[in-house]
Amino acid sequence: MENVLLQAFNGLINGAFYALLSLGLAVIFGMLRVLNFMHGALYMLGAFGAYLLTAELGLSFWWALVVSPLAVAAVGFLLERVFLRWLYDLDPLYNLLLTFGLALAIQDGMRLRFGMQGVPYSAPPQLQGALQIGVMFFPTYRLFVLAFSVLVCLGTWWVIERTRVGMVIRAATEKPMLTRALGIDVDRWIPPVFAFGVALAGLAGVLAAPMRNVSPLMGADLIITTFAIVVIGGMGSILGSVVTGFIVGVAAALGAVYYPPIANTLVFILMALVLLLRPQGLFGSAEAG
Amino acid sequence: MRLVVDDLQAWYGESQALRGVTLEVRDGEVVTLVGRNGAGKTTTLRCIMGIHRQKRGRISLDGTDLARLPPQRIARLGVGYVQDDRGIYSTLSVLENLTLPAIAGGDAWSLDRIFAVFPVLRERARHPGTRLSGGEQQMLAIARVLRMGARLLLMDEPTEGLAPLLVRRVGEIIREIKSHGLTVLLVEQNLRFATTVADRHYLIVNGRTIEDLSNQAVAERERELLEYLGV
Repeated sequence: MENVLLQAFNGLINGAFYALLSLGLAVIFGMLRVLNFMHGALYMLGAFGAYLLTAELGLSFWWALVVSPLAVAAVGFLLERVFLRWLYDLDPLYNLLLTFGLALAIQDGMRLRFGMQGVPYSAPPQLQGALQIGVMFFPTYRLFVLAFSVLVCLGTWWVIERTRVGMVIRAATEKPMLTRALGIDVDRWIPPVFAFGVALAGLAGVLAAPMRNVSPLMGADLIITTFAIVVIGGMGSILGSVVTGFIVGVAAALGAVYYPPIANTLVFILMALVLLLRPQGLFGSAEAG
Repeated sequence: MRLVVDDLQAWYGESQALRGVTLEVRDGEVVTLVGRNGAGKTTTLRCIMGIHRQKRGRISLDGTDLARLPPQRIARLGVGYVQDDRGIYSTLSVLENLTLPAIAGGDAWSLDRIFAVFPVLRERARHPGTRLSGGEQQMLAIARVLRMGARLLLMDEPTEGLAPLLVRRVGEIIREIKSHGLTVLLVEQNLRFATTVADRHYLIVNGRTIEDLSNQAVAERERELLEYLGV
């Protein structure tokens, strides 16, 4: 029983990363109709950003937690302005190919500089050790990751549901052309929304740095699962991406306890089922898309 | 506001949808565009609004050339678009649907004024927009462009699919809008309804405006016109 609880907890931690990544993907897809294949590479850049800020500049984890996502946002902003924006009027396939190519370029660039092995990064001293909750001990850093990502997801949800900016994002996601016809300059919001979406990936990268090997391909595997989560949750659905992220994290972890061979394929089985039974996704509406 | 459209042509890929739409809506007028399905009525509105871009010809509003402007700029000049499916956002509440548009000018209706004319919108303000009935959604779509301060309204079949009582209500609202000096270009299939609200009518056939008709002319030639409309 304790093992199951511990696995569920680890599943929640994985889910936290899925949620942050798919939330960014969903926000970007909703507003730009772009399947951002470089999301995993930008997650990796966020982790390396933390490493560089700490190892080279001597800044603490806490500074890295703020600065690295901002730096990733700046990279994303630049890539959007230089590359992506020319392709919005074309078939979405073009932007998918472009972001896929950029992801490969970014990963290879980092591989040339840092090699395949990756670099070590340790959790800040304040978050090392473990906390006792009930009868069980949980690693402090992992508890922090869980709490922090839940807060970020809630904060994003609040902005999208309760502010004027969020209202514009929702409107532009649902009916982009009509939103323009109501006098709203949708295009002005595209660069900041893209930058925000990739900043979430950068943030996830920083959070992952002390837990996972910081290496050029760390985002490559994650991104495939994350795309499956976005599909399961409903393309562009904010709530769907977050909730599905946590569900898949926990489901995969529990799957590993009861039937280990299924752990890695479970998400794709779920995706196939959802596509068969409810093609618009668990939280998607039939008309969006 | 005075809208002038001159020899407007439009394409969807290779196929030509408009072959010469010419019309004028003078300040304070209500003018309808009548024609059968596929004649080009909706495309004409989408061209004026800047949503449809594959087009050629002149469109001007109080002397400003609209043909090359993006929709958001056209909206801010005071053009309100009420599209045929009403365009109510399901992810926005009724109140958000109302307050979403950018305010285009000093004529914007206040929320109090909107709620006085459309009390149901106040009662349902917190509900998702698409939870309203079809008629209520139509009221919301009209209220929304009044709220943004539009002075030229492009309305695409506002009576479509509504019960007779609601059709009458839409008629009353259009007459009220007119009494405030606003200008309306209305797409309509219902000829009888058109004559109760509009000053003049353009008959559009196969992407061309072929006649400019007064209410009297419509009444006299109703049978012939109904054949054009394929009713």
